[in-house]
Amino acid sequence: MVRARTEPYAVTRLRSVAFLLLLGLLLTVCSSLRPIRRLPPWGWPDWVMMLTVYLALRAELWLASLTAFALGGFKNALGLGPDGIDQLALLLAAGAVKLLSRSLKLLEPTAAGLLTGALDLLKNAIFMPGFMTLMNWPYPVSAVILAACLGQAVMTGVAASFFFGVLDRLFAADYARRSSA
Amino acid sequence: MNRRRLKTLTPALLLLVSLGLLSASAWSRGESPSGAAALETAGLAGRLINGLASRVEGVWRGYFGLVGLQTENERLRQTLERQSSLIIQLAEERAANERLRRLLEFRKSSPRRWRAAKVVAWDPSPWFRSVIIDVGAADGLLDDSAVVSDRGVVGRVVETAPHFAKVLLLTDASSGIDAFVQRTRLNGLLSGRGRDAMSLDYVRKADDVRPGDLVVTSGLDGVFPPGLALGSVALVDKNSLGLFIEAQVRPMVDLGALEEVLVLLDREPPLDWLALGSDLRRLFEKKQH
Repeated sequence: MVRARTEPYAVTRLRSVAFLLLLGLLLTVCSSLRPIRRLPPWGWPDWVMMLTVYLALRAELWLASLTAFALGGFKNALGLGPDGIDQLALLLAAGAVKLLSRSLKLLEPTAAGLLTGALDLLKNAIFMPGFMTLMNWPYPVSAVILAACLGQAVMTGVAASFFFGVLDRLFAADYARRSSA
Repeated sequence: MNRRRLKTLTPALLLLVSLGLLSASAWSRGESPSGAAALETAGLAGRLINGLASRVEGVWRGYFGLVGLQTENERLRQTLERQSSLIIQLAEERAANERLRRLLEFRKSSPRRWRAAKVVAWDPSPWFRSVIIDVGAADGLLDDSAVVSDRGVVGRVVETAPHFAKVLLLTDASSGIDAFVQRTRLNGLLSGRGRDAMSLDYVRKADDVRPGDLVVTSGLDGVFPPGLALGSVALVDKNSLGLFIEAQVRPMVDLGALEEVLVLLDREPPLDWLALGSDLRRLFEKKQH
Protein backbone atom coordinates (compact mmCIF):
# COMPACT_ATOMS: atom_id res chain seq x y z
CA MET A 1 0.00 0.00 0.00
CA VAL A 2 1.35 3.42 -0.96
CA ARG A 3 1.14 5.86 1.88
CA ALA A 4 -0.18 9.29 1.01
CA ARG A 5 2.26 12.12 1.55
CA THR A 6 1.34 14.10 4.64
CA GLU A 7 2.89 17.06 6.37
CA PRO A 8 4.74 16.48 9.62
CA TYR A 9 2.40 15.93 12.55
CA ALA A 10 4.05 18.71 14.57
CA VAL A 11 3.33 21.33 11.87
CA THR A 12 -0.33 20.37 11.67
CA ARG A 13 -0.71 20.47 15.42
CA LEU A 14 1.01 23.84 15.72
CA ARG A 15 -1.18 25.33 13.04
CA SER A 16 -4.28 24.04 14.76
CA VAL A 17 -3.39 25.50 18.13
CA ALA A 18 -2.17 28.76 16.60
CA PHE A 19 -5.45 29.04 14.72
CA LEU A 20 -7.43 28.38 17.88
CA LEU A 21 -5.38 30.90 19.84
CA LEU A 22 -5.86 33.59 17.21
CA LEU A 23 -9.54 32.76 17.00
CA GLY A 24 -9.79 33.03 20.77
CA LEU A 25 -8.03 36.41 20.78
CA LEU A 26 -10.27 37.71 18.02
CA LEU A 27 -13.44 36.54 19.73
CA THR A 28 -12.32 37.93 23.10
CA VAL A 29 -11.71 41.36 21.63
CA CYS A 30 -14.96 41.16 19.64
CA SER A 31 -16.81 40.56 22.91
CA SER A 32 -15.90 44.13 23.84
CA LEU A 33 -17.25 45.72 20.63
CA ARG A 34 -20.08 48.19 21.07
CA PRO A 35 -22.83 46.20 19.23
CA ILE A 36 -21.95 43.10 21.28
CA ARG A 37 -21.96 45.10 24.51
CA ARG A 38 -25.55 46.09 23.73
CA LEU A 39 -26.64 42.43 23.73
CA PRO A 40 -28.07 40.94 26.92
CA PRO A 41 -25.61 38.78 28.88
CA TRP A 42 -27.04 35.57 27.43
CA GLY A 43 -26.52 36.87 23.89
CA TRP A 44 -22.78 36.25 23.72
CA PRO A 45 -21.05 33.10 25.02
CA ASP A 46 -17.72 32.88 26.82
CA TRP A 47 -15.46 31.88 23.93
CA VAL A 48 -12.38 31.59 26.09
CA MET A 49 -13.98 28.96 28.31
CA MET A 50 -15.23 27.06 25.25
CA LEU A 51 -11.79 26.96 23.63
CA THR A 52 -10.15 25.91 26.89
CA VAL A 53 -12.57 23.04 27.40
CA TYR A 54 -12.25 21.99 23.76
CA LEU A 55 -8.46 21.81 23.92
CA ALA A 56 -8.58 20.00 27.26
CA LEU A 57 -10.88 17.38 25.69
CA ARG A 58 -9.04 16.97 22.40
CA ALA A 59 -5.41 17.89 22.99
CA GLU A 60 -2.82 17.46 25.68
CA LEU A 61 -3.09 19.27 28.99
CA TRP A 62 -0.04 21.44 28.40
CA LEU A 63 -1.57 22.86 25.20
CA ALA A 64 -4.88 23.52 26.92
CA SER A 65 -3.02 25.20 29.83
CA LEU A 66 -0.98 27.44 27.54
CA THR A 67 -4.08 28.52 25.64
CA ALA A 68 -6.00 29.08 28.88
CA PHE A 69 -3.17 31.19 30.27
CA ALA A 70 -2.75 33.29 27.11
CA LEU A 71 -6.45 33.92 26.48
CA GLY A 72 -7.18 34.37 30.18
CA GLY A 73 -4.39 36.90 30.39
CA PHE A 74 -5.82 38.83 27.48
CA LYS A 75 -9.27 38.83 29.03
CA ASN A 76 -7.74 39.93 32.32
CA ALA A 77 -5.97 42.83 30.58
CA LEU A 78 -9.28 44.14 29.23
CA GLY A 79 -10.90 44.38 32.65
CA LEU A 80 -10.49 45.41 36.25
CA GLY A 81 -10.23 42.05 37.97
CA PRO A 82 -7.10 41.18 39.96
CA ASP A 83 -4.17 40.06 37.82
CA GLY A 84 -4.10 36.34 37.30
CA ILE A 85 -7.66 35.51 38.33
CA ASP A 86 -8.93 34.67 34.84
CA GLN A 87 -5.81 32.64 34.12
CA LEU A 88 -6.13 30.69 37.37
CA ALA A 89 -9.81 29.98 36.84
CA LEU A 90 -9.25 28.72 33.29
CA LEU A 91 -6.25 26.60 34.27
CA LEU A 92 -8.32 24.91 36.98
CA ALA A 93 -11.14 24.39 34.46
CA ALA A 94 -8.71 22.78 32.00
CA GLY A 95 -7.44 20.47 34.72
CA ALA A 96 -10.95 19.51 35.79
CA VAL A 97 -11.99 18.73 32.22
CA LYS A 98 -8.91 16.57 31.69
CA LEU A 99 -9.77 14.56 34.80
CA LEU A 100 -13.36 14.06 33.65
CA SER A 101 -12.62 13.58 29.94
CA ARG A 102 -12.44 9.80 30.05
CA SER A 103 -15.98 9.43 31.35
CA LEU A 104 -17.36 12.04 28.94
CA LYS A 105 -16.36 10.37 25.66
CA LEU A 106 -19.55 8.37 25.32
CA LEU A 107 -21.90 11.29 25.85
CA GLU A 108 -20.26 14.05 23.79
CA PRO A 109 -21.21 16.64 22.57
CA THR A 110 -24.15 17.16 24.96
CA ALA A 111 -22.09 16.38 28.04
CA ALA A 112 -19.27 18.58 26.79
CA GLY A 113 -21.72 21.45 26.33
CA LEU A 114 -23.23 20.95 29.78
CA LEU A 115 -19.81 20.75 31.36
CA THR A 116 -18.70 23.97 29.62
CA GLY A 117 -21.78 25.81 30.82
CA ALA A 118 -21.36 24.50 34.35
CA LEU A 119 -17.70 25.50 34.45
CA ASP A 120 -18.52 28.96 33.15
CA LEU A 121 -21.13 29.44 35.87
CA LEU A 122 -18.76 28.10 38.50
CA LYS A 123 -16.05 30.47 37.33
CA ASN A 124 -18.15 33.65 37.14
CA ALA A 125 -20.60 33.16 39.98
CA ILE A 126 -18.56 31.27 42.58
CA PHE A 127 -14.83 31.16 41.91
CA MET A 128 -14.24 34.81 40.99
CA PRO A 129 -16.38 36.41 43.71
CA GLY A 130 -15.06 33.88 46.23
CA PHE A 131 -11.47 34.66 45.41
CA MET A 132 -12.08 38.40 45.34
CA THR A 133 -13.71 38.18 48.76
CA LEU A 134 -10.60 36.45 50.08
CA MET A 135 -8.43 39.19 48.58
CA ASN A 136 -10.71 41.94 49.88
CA TRP A 137 -11.15 43.12 46.28
CA PRO A 138 -14.33 45.22 45.82
CA TYR A 139 -17.04 43.88 43.54
CA PRO A 140 -20.79 44.52 43.37
CA VAL A 141 -23.18 42.17 45.15
CA SER A 142 -26.15 42.18 42.86
CA ALA A 143 -28.86 39.77 41.77
CA VAL A 144 -28.74 41.36 38.30
CA ILE A 145 -25.09 40.41 37.86
CA LEU A 146 -25.65 36.87 39.13
CA ALA A 147 -28.51 36.53 36.67
CA ALA A 148 -26.15 37.78 33.94
CA CYS A 149 -23.60 35.11 34.91
CA LEU A 150 -26.31 32.44 34.72
CA GLY A 151 -27.51 33.69 31.34
CA GLN A 152 -24.01 33.67 29.93
CA ALA A 153 -23.38 30.17 31.29
CA VAL A 154 -26.51 28.85 29.57
CA MET A 155 -25.53 30.49 26.27
CA THR A 156 -21.98 29.15 26.59
CA GLY A 157 -23.23 25.62 27.22
CA VAL A 158 -25.60 25.68 24.26
CA ALA A 159 -23.05 27.25 21.90
CA ALA A 160 -20.32 24.85 23.03
CA SER A 161 -22.08 21.79 21.60
CA PHE A 162 -22.24 23.36 18.14
CA PHE A 163 -18.84 25.00 18.36
CA PHE A 164 -17.14 21.73 19.30
CA GLY A 165 -18.79 20.01 16.34
CA VAL A 166 -17.51 22.71 13.95
CA LEU A 167 -13.98 22.51 15.32
CA ASP A 168 -14.03 18.72 15.18
CA ARG A 169 -14.91 18.94 11.49
CA LEU A 170 -12.06 21.39 10.87
CA PHE A 171 -9.44 19.36 12.69
CA ALA A 172 -10.78 15.84 12.09
CA ALA A 173 -7.71 14.70 10.15
CA ASP A 174 -5.40 15.99 12.85
CA TYR A 175 -7.24 14.12 15.61
CA ALA A 176 -7.49 10.94 13.61
CA ARG A 177 -3.75 11.01 13.13
CA ARG A 178 -3.15 11.74 16.80
CA SER A 179 -5.42 8.98 18.05
CA SER A 180 -3.77 6.46 15.73
CA ALA A 181 -0.26 7.56 16.77
CA MET B 1 15.09 19.22 30.91
CA ASN B 2 13.60 16.99 28.22
CA ARG B 3 10.48 17.86 26.26
CA ARG B 4 8.25 15.31 27.93
CA ARG B 5 9.06 16.58 31.40
CA LEU B 6 8.56 20.17 30.29
CA LYS B 7 5.12 19.31 28.91
CA THR B 8 4.19 17.63 32.18
CA LEU B 9 5.38 20.56 34.27
CA THR B 10 3.85 23.32 32.10
CA PRO B 11 0.36 23.28 33.70
CA ALA B 12 1.87 23.40 37.20
CA LEU B 13 4.25 26.22 36.24
CA LEU B 14 1.43 28.25 34.72
CA LEU B 15 -0.65 27.68 37.85
CA LEU B 16 2.18 28.99 40.00
CA VAL B 17 2.60 32.04 37.75
CA SER B 18 -1.14 32.79 38.03
CA LEU B 19 -1.01 32.50 41.82
CA GLY B 20 2.04 34.76 41.82
CA LEU B 21 0.21 37.38 39.75
CA LEU B 22 -2.76 37.20 42.11
CA SER B 23 -0.53 37.68 45.14
CA ALA B 24 1.26 40.60 43.51
CA SER B 25 -2.10 42.13 42.65
CA ALA B 26 -3.33 41.71 46.22
CA TRP B 27 -0.22 43.36 47.65
CA SER B 28 0.20 46.16 45.16
CA ARG B 29 -3.48 47.00 44.58
CA GLY B 30 -3.25 48.07 40.95
CA GLU B 31 0.45 48.77 40.47
CA SER B 32 1.10 45.40 38.82
CA PRO B 33 4.34 44.87 36.91
CA SER B 34 2.60 43.17 33.98
CA GLY B 35 -0.26 45.69 33.88
CA ALA B 36 1.17 48.28 31.48
CA ALA B 37 2.42 45.72 28.93
CA ALA B 38 -0.85 43.76 29.02
CA LEU B 39 -2.88 46.98 28.69
CA GLU B 40 -0.79 48.14 25.73
CA THR B 41 -1.34 44.81 23.92
CA ALA B 42 -5.06 44.72 24.69
CA GLY B 43 -5.44 48.35 23.56
CA LEU B 44 -3.70 47.72 20.24
CA ALA B 45 -5.86 44.68 19.51
CA GLY B 46 -8.99 46.59 20.50
CA ARG B 47 -8.13 49.53 18.25
CA LEU B 48 -7.54 47.23 15.27
CA ILE B 49 -10.78 45.32 15.74
CA ASN B 50 -12.80 48.48 16.32
CA GLY B 51 -11.38 50.02 13.15
CA LEU B 52 -12.49 47.01 11.12
CA ALA B 53 -15.88 46.92 12.83
CA SER B 54 -16.46 50.62 12.11
CA ARG B 55 -15.94 50.02 8.40
CA VAL B 56 -18.38 47.10 8.40
CA GLU B 57 -20.88 49.20 10.37
CA GLY B 58 -20.49 52.00 7.82
CA VAL B 59 -21.30 49.64 4.95
CA TRP B 60 -24.36 48.36 6.81
CA ARG B 61 -25.65 51.88 7.45
CA GLY B 62 -24.88 53.01 3.93
CA TYR B 63 -26.72 50.23 2.15
CA PHE B 64 -29.11 48.22 4.29
CA GLY B 65 -30.23 50.91 6.73
CA LEU B 66 -31.86 53.14 4.10
CA VAL B 67 -35.17 51.27 4.09
CA GLY B 68 -37.40 54.31 3.71
CA LEU B 69 -35.54 55.48 0.64
CA GLN B 70 -35.91 52.28 -1.34
CA THR B 71 -38.16 53.77 -4.03
CA GLU B 72 -35.90 56.75 -4.53
CA ASN B 73 -32.89 54.45 -4.45
CA GLU B 74 -34.32 52.49 -7.36
CA ARG B 75 -34.53 55.70 -9.42
CA LEU B 76 -31.11 56.90 -8.41
CA ARG B 77 -29.44 53.48 -8.27
CA GLN B 78 -27.17 54.06 -11.21
CA THR B 79 -25.91 57.33 -9.75
CA LEU B 80 -25.67 55.86 -6.25
CA GLU B 81 -23.61 52.92 -7.42
CA ARG B 82 -21.03 55.32 -8.82
CA GLN B 83 -21.02 57.46 -5.67
CA SER B 84 -21.55 54.61 -3.14
CA SER B 85 -18.16 54.49 -1.54
CA LEU B 86 -18.05 58.28 -1.21
CA ILE B 87 -21.50 58.36 0.47
CA ILE B 88 -20.54 55.74 3.05
CA GLN B 89 -17.38 57.61 3.88
CA LEU B 90 -19.13 60.97 4.21
CA ALA B 91 -21.95 59.57 6.41
CA GLU B 92 -19.43 58.13 8.82
CA GLU B 93 -17.36 61.32 8.87
CA ARG B 94 -20.45 63.44 9.45
CA ALA B 95 -21.49 61.35 12.48
CA ALA B 96 -17.98 61.54 13.91
CA ASN B 97 -17.88 65.28 13.22
CA GLU B 98 -21.13 65.81 15.15
CA ARG B 99 -19.85 63.92 18.16
CA LEU B 100 -16.52 65.74 18.09
CA ARG B 101 -18.23 69.13 17.64
CA ARG B 102 -20.21 68.53 20.83
CA LEU B 103 -17.05 67.51 22.64
CA LEU B 104 -15.24 70.60 21.35
CA GLU B 105 -18.03 72.91 22.54
CA PHE B 106 -17.75 71.36 25.99
CA ARG B 107 -13.97 71.65 25.91
CA LYS B 108 -14.03 75.33 24.88
CA SER B 109 -16.44 76.17 27.70
CA SER B 110 -13.95 74.89 30.26
CA PRO B 111 -10.64 76.63 31.03
CA ARG B 112 -8.94 73.29 31.84
CA ARG B 113 -6.67 71.27 29.55
CA TRP B 114 -8.48 68.36 27.92
CA ARG B 115 -7.36 65.61 25.56
CA ALA B 116 -9.77 63.78 23.26
CA ALA B 117 -9.63 59.98 23.16
CA LYS B 118 -11.43 57.10 21.48
CA VAL B 119 -12.79 54.12 23.36
CA VAL B 120 -11.21 50.97 21.88
CA ALA B 121 -12.28 48.14 24.19
CA TRP B 122 -14.69 47.24 26.98
CA ASP B 123 -14.35 44.84 29.90
CA PRO B 124 -16.07 41.59 28.84
CA SER B 125 -16.65 40.27 32.37
CA PRO B 126 -20.02 40.82 34.09
CA TRP B 127 -18.42 41.94 37.38
CA PHE B 128 -16.58 45.12 36.41
CA ARG B 129 -17.27 48.24 34.38
CA SER B 130 -14.28 49.68 32.59
CA VAL B 131 -13.14 50.73 29.14
CA ILE B 132 -9.77 51.20 27.43
CA ILE B 133 -9.03 54.49 25.67
CA ASP B 134 -6.31 55.24 23.11
CA VAL B 135 -4.35 57.86 25.03
CA GLY B 136 -1.80 57.06 27.70
CA ALA B 137 1.14 58.24 29.76
CA ALA B 138 3.00 59.43 26.68
CA ASP B 139 0.18 61.94 26.08
CA GLY B 140 0.43 63.34 29.60
CA LEU B 141 -2.21 61.18 31.27
CA LEU B 142 -1.93 60.48 34.98
CA ASP B 143 -3.74 58.03 37.20
CA ASP B 144 -6.99 59.47 38.59
CA SER B 145 -7.42 61.80 35.59
CA ALA B 146 -11.08 62.66 35.09
CA VAL B 147 -12.80 61.32 31.96
CA VAL B 148 -15.94 62.99 30.64
CA SER B 149 -18.12 63.17 27.55
CA ASP B 150 -20.25 66.04 26.26
CA ARG B 151 -23.15 64.85 28.42
CA GLY B 152 -21.28 64.37 31.69
CA VAL B 153 -18.85 62.32 33.74
CA VAL B 154 -17.72 58.94 32.40
CA GLY B 155 -15.21 57.90 35.06
CA ARG B 156 -11.55 58.20 35.97
CA VAL B 157 -8.26 56.72 34.79
CA VAL B 158 -7.05 53.84 36.99
CA GLU B 159 -4.23 52.35 34.95
CA THR B 160 -1.97 53.83 32.28
CA ALA B 161 0.31 52.34 29.64
CA PRO B 162 2.41 54.43 27.25
CA HIS B 163 -0.38 54.73 24.63
CA PHE B 164 -3.52 53.40 26.29
CA ALA B 165 -5.31 53.80 29.59
CA LYS B 166 -7.98 51.94 31.52
CA VAL B 167 -10.94 53.98 32.73
CA LEU B 168 -13.04 52.99 35.73
CA LEU B 169 -16.63 53.85 34.82
CA LEU B 170 -18.74 55.65 37.37
CA THR B 171 -21.15 52.67 37.53
CA ASP B 172 -18.44 50.27 38.73
CA ALA B 173 -18.69 49.06 42.32
CA SER B 174 -15.27 50.55 43.15
CA SER B 175 -16.28 54.00 41.97
CA GLY B 176 -17.14 56.70 44.50
CA ILE B 177 -17.54 60.36 43.53
CA ASP B 178 -18.28 63.24 45.88
CA ALA B 179 -21.47 64.86 44.61
CA PHE B 180 -24.09 67.53 45.17
CA VAL B 181 -27.79 67.44 44.42
CA GLN B 182 -27.87 70.50 42.19
CA ARG B 183 -31.26 71.83 43.33
CA THR B 184 -30.70 71.68 47.09
CA ARG B 185 -26.83 71.58 47.28
CA LEU B 186 -27.05 68.48 49.48
CA ASN B 187 -23.77 66.61 49.67
CA GLY B 188 -23.51 62.84 49.18
CA LEU B 189 -21.32 60.09 47.77
CA LEU B 190 -22.25 58.71 44.36
CA SER B 191 -21.36 55.00 44.34
CA GLY B 192 -21.47 52.58 41.45
CA ARG B 193 -23.62 49.46 41.79
CA GLY B 194 -22.51 47.54 38.68
CA ARG B 195 -24.28 47.33 35.29
CA ASP B 196 -25.98 50.76 34.77
CA ALA B 197 -26.96 51.55 38.34
CA MET B 198 -25.62 54.01 40.89
CA SER B 199 -26.72 55.18 44.32
CA LEU B 200 -26.35 58.44 46.19
CA ASP B 201 -25.21 57.53 49.69
CA TYR B 202 -25.14 59.35 53.02
CA VAL B 203 -28.16 61.55 52.35
CA ARG B 204 -30.22 61.86 55.50
CA LYS B 205 -33.93 61.08 55.60
CA ALA B 206 -34.79 64.64 56.53
CA ASP B 207 -33.04 66.01 53.41
CA ASP B 208 -34.98 67.07 50.34
CA VAL B 209 -34.21 64.80 47.38
CA ARG B 210 -36.74 64.00 44.66
CA PRO B 211 -36.79 61.84 41.52
CA GLY B 212 -35.60 63.95 38.62
CA ASP B 213 -33.05 65.94 40.64
CA LEU B 214 -29.73 66.39 38.84
CA VAL B 215 -26.61 65.14 40.63
CA VAL B 216 -23.35 66.98 39.86
CA THR B 217 -19.72 66.75 40.97
CA SER B 218 -18.77 68.79 44.01
CA GLY B 219 -15.10 69.23 43.09
CA LEU B 220 -14.05 68.50 46.68
CA ASP B 221 -12.17 65.30 45.80
CA GLY B 222 -9.69 67.08 43.53
CA VAL B 223 -10.36 64.63 40.69
CA PHE B 224 -13.44 66.04 38.96
CA PRO B 225 -13.99 69.75 38.39
CA PRO B 226 -17.15 70.99 40.15
CA GLY B 227 -20.50 71.17 38.39
CA LEU B 228 -20.14 68.27 35.94
CA ALA B 229 -23.31 66.21 35.43
CA LEU B 230 -23.22 62.74 36.96
CA GLY B 231 -26.80 61.55 36.66
CA SER B 232 -30.40 62.10 37.63
CA VAL B 233 -32.20 60.66 40.63
CA ALA B 234 -34.47 57.82 39.49
CA LEU B 235 -35.90 56.53 42.76
CA VAL B 236 -35.93 57.70 46.38
CA ASP B 237 -36.80 55.30 49.21
CA LYS B 238 -37.21 57.10 52.54
CA ASN B 239 -38.58 54.00 54.25
CA SER B 240 -35.25 52.19 54.19
CA LEU B 241 -33.61 51.02 57.39
CA GLY B 242 -30.97 53.22 58.95
CA LEU B 243 -30.25 56.94 59.03
CA PHE B 244 -29.95 57.51 55.29
CA ILE B 245 -32.28 57.28 52.31
CA GLU B 246 -31.75 54.95 49.39
CA ALA B 247 -31.53 57.03 46.25
CA GLN B 248 -30.97 55.33 42.91
CA VAL B 249 -29.30 57.46 40.26
CA ARG B 250 -29.30 56.90 36.51
CA PRO B 251 -26.09 57.98 34.74
CA MET B 252 -26.32 60.97 32.43
CA VAL B 253 -23.99 59.40 29.88
CA ASP B 254 -25.04 56.34 27.87
CA LEU B 255 -22.05 54.24 28.86
CA GLY B 256 -22.90 51.48 26.41
CA ALA B 257 -22.58 53.87 23.44
CA LEU B 258 -19.30 55.57 24.33
CA GLU B 259 -17.10 56.35 21.35
CA GLU B 260 -15.14 59.54 22.07
CA VAL B 261 -14.33 61.03 25.46
CA LEU B 262 -12.27 63.88 26.94
CA VAL B 263 -9.58 63.32 29.55
CA LEU B 264 -8.53 66.08 31.95
CA LEU B 265 -4.79 66.55 31.82
CA ASP B 266 -4.26 69.12 34.55
CA ARG B 267 -5.58 68.43 38.00
CA GLU B 268 -5.95 70.72 40.95
CA PRO B 269 -4.46 69.26 44.11
CA PRO B 270 -7.12 68.20 46.63
CA LEU B 271 -7.89 70.69 49.40
CA ASP B 272 -5.32 70.46 52.17
CA TRP B 273 -7.70 70.54 55.13
CA LEU B 274 -4.97 70.64 57.75
CA ALA B 275 -3.27 73.67 56.19
CA LEU B 276 -6.66 75.29 55.60
CA GLY B 277 -7.55 74.74 59.24
CA SER B 278 -4.45 76.56 60.51
CA ASP B 279 -5.01 79.43 58.04
CA LEU B 280 -8.57 79.83 59.25
CA ARG B 281 -7.43 79.72 62.86
CA ARG B 282 -4.88 82.51 62.23
CA LEU B 283 -7.55 84.64 60.54
CA PHE B 284 -9.88 84.07 63.48
CA GLU B 285 -7.22 85.01 66.04
CA LYS B 286 -6.31 88.11 64.01
CA LYS B 287 -9.91 89.21 64.00
CA GLN B 288 -10.25 88.67 67.73
CA HIS B 289 -7.26 90.92 68.42
